[in-house]
Amino acid sequence: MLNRKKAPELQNIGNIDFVKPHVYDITEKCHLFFMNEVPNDTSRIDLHFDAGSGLGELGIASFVGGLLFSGTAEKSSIQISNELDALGAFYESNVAHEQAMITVYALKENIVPILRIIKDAVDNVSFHEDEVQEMLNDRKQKFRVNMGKVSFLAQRKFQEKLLSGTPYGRIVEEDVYDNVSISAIKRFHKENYLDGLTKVVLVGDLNQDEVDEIIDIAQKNFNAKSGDRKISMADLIVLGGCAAIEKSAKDAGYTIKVPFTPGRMDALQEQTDVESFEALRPSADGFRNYSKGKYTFSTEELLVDKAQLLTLTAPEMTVLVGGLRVLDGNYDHSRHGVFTKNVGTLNNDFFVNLLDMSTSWKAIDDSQEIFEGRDRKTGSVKWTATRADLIFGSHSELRAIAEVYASSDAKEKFVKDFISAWDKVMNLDRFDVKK
Amino acid sequence: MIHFERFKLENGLTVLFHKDITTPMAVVNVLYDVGARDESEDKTGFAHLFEHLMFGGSINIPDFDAPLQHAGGESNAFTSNDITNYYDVLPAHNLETALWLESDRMLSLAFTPKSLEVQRNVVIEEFKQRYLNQPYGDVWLELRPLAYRVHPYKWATIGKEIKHIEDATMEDVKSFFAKHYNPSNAILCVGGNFELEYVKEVVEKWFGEIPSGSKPARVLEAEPEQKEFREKLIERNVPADAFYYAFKMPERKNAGYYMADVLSDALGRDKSSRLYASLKKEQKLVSEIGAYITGSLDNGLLIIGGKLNEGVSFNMFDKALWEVLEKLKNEIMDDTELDRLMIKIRTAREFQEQGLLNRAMNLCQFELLGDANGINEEHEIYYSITPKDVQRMAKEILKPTNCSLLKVKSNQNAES
Repeated sequence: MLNRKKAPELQNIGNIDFVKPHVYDITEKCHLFFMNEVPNDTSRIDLHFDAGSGLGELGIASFVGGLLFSGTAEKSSIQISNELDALGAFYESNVAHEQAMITVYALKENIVPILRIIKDAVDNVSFHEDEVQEMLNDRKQKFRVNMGKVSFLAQRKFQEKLLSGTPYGRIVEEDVYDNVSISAIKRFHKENYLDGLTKVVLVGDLNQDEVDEIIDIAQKNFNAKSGDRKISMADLIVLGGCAAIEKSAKDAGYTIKVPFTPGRMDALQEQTDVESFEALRPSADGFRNYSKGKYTFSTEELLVDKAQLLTLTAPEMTVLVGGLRVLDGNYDHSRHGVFTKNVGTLNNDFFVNLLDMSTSWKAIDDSQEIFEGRDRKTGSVKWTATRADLIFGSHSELRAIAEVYASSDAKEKFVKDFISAWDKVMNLDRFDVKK
Repeated sequence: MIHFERFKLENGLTVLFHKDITTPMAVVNVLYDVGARDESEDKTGFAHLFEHLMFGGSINIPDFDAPLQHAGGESNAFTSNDITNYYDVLPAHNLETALWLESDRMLSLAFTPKSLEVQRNVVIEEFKQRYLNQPYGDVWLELRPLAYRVHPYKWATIGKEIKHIEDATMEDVKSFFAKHYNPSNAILCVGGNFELEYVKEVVEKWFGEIPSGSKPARVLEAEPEQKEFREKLIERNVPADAFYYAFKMPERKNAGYYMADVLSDALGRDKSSRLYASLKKEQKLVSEIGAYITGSLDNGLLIIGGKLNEGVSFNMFDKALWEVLEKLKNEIMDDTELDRLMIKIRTAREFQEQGLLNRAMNLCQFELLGDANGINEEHEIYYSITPKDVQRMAKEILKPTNCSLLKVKSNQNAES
């Protein structure tokens, strides 16, 4: 007689054969993970995007996710659905907090043409106003329905009570559906979909040609952009400066790489509080021999003030001014302080000529702002300079530093110190970059 | 092609074995030929309540879930108007644990008053949360009695009213079990990487000694042919007006069932379907719309359901809907459209068959229909359907006299 009270003996799991995916590069950072051990005709592909709801303003990630198949300049949303349905595709886009994902289920024979349609639809979505409005109306209605469900309300309360103050604690209210702009939607799409493919996962009994084709389709976005590879204006300005300095150093005989870390973002005027920027306009900048007007403070005091705002040490300030002068860095391209015959070459001429005892300095007028440096022998004007230039010769502490850089064996030290001070200033506001 | 072996125990239990060498997991699926349609009208909701009780401990085993979980398995069940289905998924080498658990609850439940009390409360809470206390939750409680006058499909699986659940006694429960839960009223399917002889041996070991009982005769009153358009309007605290057009359709074993299924796909399965393209995208009358069939074993329903956009009246929508339906009745669809529906059906089928659990479940359901091999014949039936068949089915069922319409009117605007 069977003893039913006694459970059958259990066996532990000895080992599990985890499937190991083949990994291919789509780009350097974006990979395709491919698993081909499927005993039937099914295939699935997941496109992962860095477009989760944790990014952007509240609701926007989910709206963009809901509009990915809403039509392009060439195709309406119905045409896209027709084409995909004709290939038997089941597809959906999901937006989670950390990422967004497009998933396609299809027969393996159709997966490549389907991906081509999907990629075109998602890359070129035009966010037609009618489609956006329709989606917002539908979402608003669904939201109202959900607000009548206890599970939904409980989830919201949970987020509110437990996660408030964290990125997970953001809760959508109904007005979100009325306050979203198409330009914000387009911007999110551009930044997080066109630029945001992070991973592709492919499952199906596919051959190498098909896998290659899928990689090719996934790459399209990246390749298409390499022609006009995106760089922010802010990065471009800094990069331009870095390149110019490398060239100037090379002209001076030193091949040195100037560090550059991209990642600065631009802001449109509409994202900017114009008035607050007005307050940031400098009244004087001795590094570029700029002054807005006359002040009770002396020009050299304003230079030092600027330097401390930039958190520069005295040597850093000194080497920067000396370098910027010979690089023609004055805001108005005046010759003040440009004590060199080789403008644009990163050399220590500024210091050499500043300390040259054969030059005698005299103010051109009573305001004592602009000075002329004449040859003691001939009396002819050799250089002109401002107070912000001559302070490095007249102030004892700064003069000591200037003497170091003026030494004939300090030419390389000058170039290196200049580049490191430059790099420091260029990255002062980069709180996003790990130090 | 899905292979299977069939054998029967002496006590009447039908057993199917489906071999799958590609997975280290096993599935045990038990289908009981009992659903809400087998309840008496004054004691509805019992089949579903019973599904809950089946997890409350059996005669020799106090707790169902814990031993299964210790074996690395999981389990669930569902109840429909037609059947009650239980399944367990676990590592193949622990197959016997699932057979032990399933056979013991087929032998007898523990029938403790506590278990009844707990599950009754759970089901009452489910009734409240899902059917009474959420927008559009009571739609099926209203639509079924509108569409069915006689057949027990007129009540939902959750039950007609909460009172029936509240009043359930231990005596009711025991007699329901005695009548429906016995080997001759069940179909067992074992799926996994096993040999037939082993499966026979362990199934016989655990299920063989269960007394056979007898398969209860099912005599259900047939629903008389509907001859008039039926309509009901209810006002509810919901955000948008909603509509549910229910058309009677052929029973599961009729070839017309498949035609109605394809017809519902053409109307509203995907975003390329006629209702979605015309009424949502072109005319912008609705926020959502879809069409599907209930999949019932007896005469079922083809449902067209959705929600109106703000400012659209039921009448405006009704006119536009019938235009779409008339077009389907009057003009034969072109082959491209049918091809599009068929590739979807084929793709969906391939994915469904991918899962061992789905295969095991479907084998049981086809065996209930008469022959498990139906699972391998079904797609041929679909592929043989022509545009003419779809048109014929449209003409047959998409007519007002075959339609029951439930309208849910929002009273939120009136309030504010």
